[in-house]
Amino acid sequence: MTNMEIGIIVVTIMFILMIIVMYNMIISRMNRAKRAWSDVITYEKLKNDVVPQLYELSDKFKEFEADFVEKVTSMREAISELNTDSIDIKNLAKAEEFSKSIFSSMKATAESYPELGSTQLMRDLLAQVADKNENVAAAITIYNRGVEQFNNSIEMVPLNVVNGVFARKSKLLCFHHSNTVENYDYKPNFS
Amino acid sequence: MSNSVLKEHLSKIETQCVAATSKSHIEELIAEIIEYSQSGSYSVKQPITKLIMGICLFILVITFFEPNRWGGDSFIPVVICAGGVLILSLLVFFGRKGKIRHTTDEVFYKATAIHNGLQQKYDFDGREMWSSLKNEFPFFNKGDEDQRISRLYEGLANDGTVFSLFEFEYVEVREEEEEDSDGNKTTKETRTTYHDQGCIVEFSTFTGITINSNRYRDKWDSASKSFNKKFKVRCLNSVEAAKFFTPSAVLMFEDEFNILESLDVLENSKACIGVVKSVLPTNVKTQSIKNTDEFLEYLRTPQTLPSLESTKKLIAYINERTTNNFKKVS
Repeated sequence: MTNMEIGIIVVTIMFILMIIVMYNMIISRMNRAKRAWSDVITYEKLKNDVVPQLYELSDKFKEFEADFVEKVTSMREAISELNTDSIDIKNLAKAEEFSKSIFSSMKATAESYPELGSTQLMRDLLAQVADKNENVAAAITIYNRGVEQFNNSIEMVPLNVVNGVFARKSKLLCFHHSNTVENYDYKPNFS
Repeated sequence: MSNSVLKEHLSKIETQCVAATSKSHIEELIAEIIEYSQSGSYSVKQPITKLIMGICLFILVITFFEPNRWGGDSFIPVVICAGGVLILSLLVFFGRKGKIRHTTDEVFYKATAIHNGLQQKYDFDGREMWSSLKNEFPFFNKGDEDQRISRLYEGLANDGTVFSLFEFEYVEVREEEEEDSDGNKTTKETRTTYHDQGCIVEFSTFTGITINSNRYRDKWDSASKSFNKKFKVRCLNSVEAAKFFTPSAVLMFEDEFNILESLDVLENSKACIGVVKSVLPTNVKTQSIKNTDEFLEYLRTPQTLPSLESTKKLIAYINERTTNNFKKVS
């Protein structure tokens, strides 16, 4: 074998190895984004733990808004539709919307009726709901960072070439709370 | 003012500095410095030393330009003598200047320490302390010689937990073989001094989890790539690690606690936290006391150390999380 032939073989092997490494990078980033999504859903589903107590709260205290129970039920249903296997931003947004609404309603009621706000049940529930919301928000932040890394890997050169030919993965969407973007007057003109 | 007055003044502020534990003591130091600077200067007058240095330099220059000036074979002895005296004079000259700098730097560091809630400890044996800590934490298994705790401070975290902030000094000895043109090999030893810093703290119930330490076998990682890159978590029980490192805790460590380099916790909740260098008061950029106004201005309003604040927050955060959520691993 001539030196040139050996050289060509070595370059070809290195090229193939490079492709394999880049392909694996795309897959590992996709899997990381999926894992981050699973964490979001896991922590979202933990909110179901407080549902019985929320019902108990509205049964005990008539000061709550008339639609409070409906909101709790809607939140429970939205959470049950969430799946760790498929990334569903819309349903997550729905669950988050109900959760936010319930928390705001509880806080508003506690402020309007201080004697209710000072009960142990109310205080515990507010703390639990706040803690769960905080963890979901953090899990969403971690998920969005994972999505950014994955999207970068399938859009930036040379990984986009490997993705186009071999992996063929599509861009993932980041999560944002509904009505937050729409409420701003300024909207960046991302192209 | 004479050098002896300056020497006395430096000795006095050194003593006051060691004894200082509060802002009022720093105010007393400031008053002492103001009183001295009204009639004295912080420049060491060394006319004789400068004269000797000048003469030696002159002799050396003459000798190199006119090697036979001092007589036949006197070139080498003259160079050795003049060179030796010149080197000695330089040592004395810079040694005296260094003494001023060292003393005033210590005042600077002390003011910074007090401002940041730290009390410096002097009554400890650095070598003995290292030896005792080495038996507990692998963090201290470094260096080939001269290992010791060179500085020690005590402080309070945001939740009132007491911690000891230390500077760990050690020397690494490297042997390198060199071969000359004749093929003769010689071994050259290079000694390099290193400084690491950290805290020793007793948590309330936190145990069973380490970061960037190999105490435990089980590994745990989060969904965050940047967290995993910076913090390698090992635990006694991965379920407890998952309970501790909720997404909000992961983000907190990633965004707020990037001062953390390692965390090693014993089963009795005693921990050694390795942190970045900027946590120590000795890391601040000092100023020369010759710019007396700026120097005193700093003593009145020293710098807050953001890394130290993060460390205090970290200790309080770990205690808070484990008090609320965590059960001690048995």
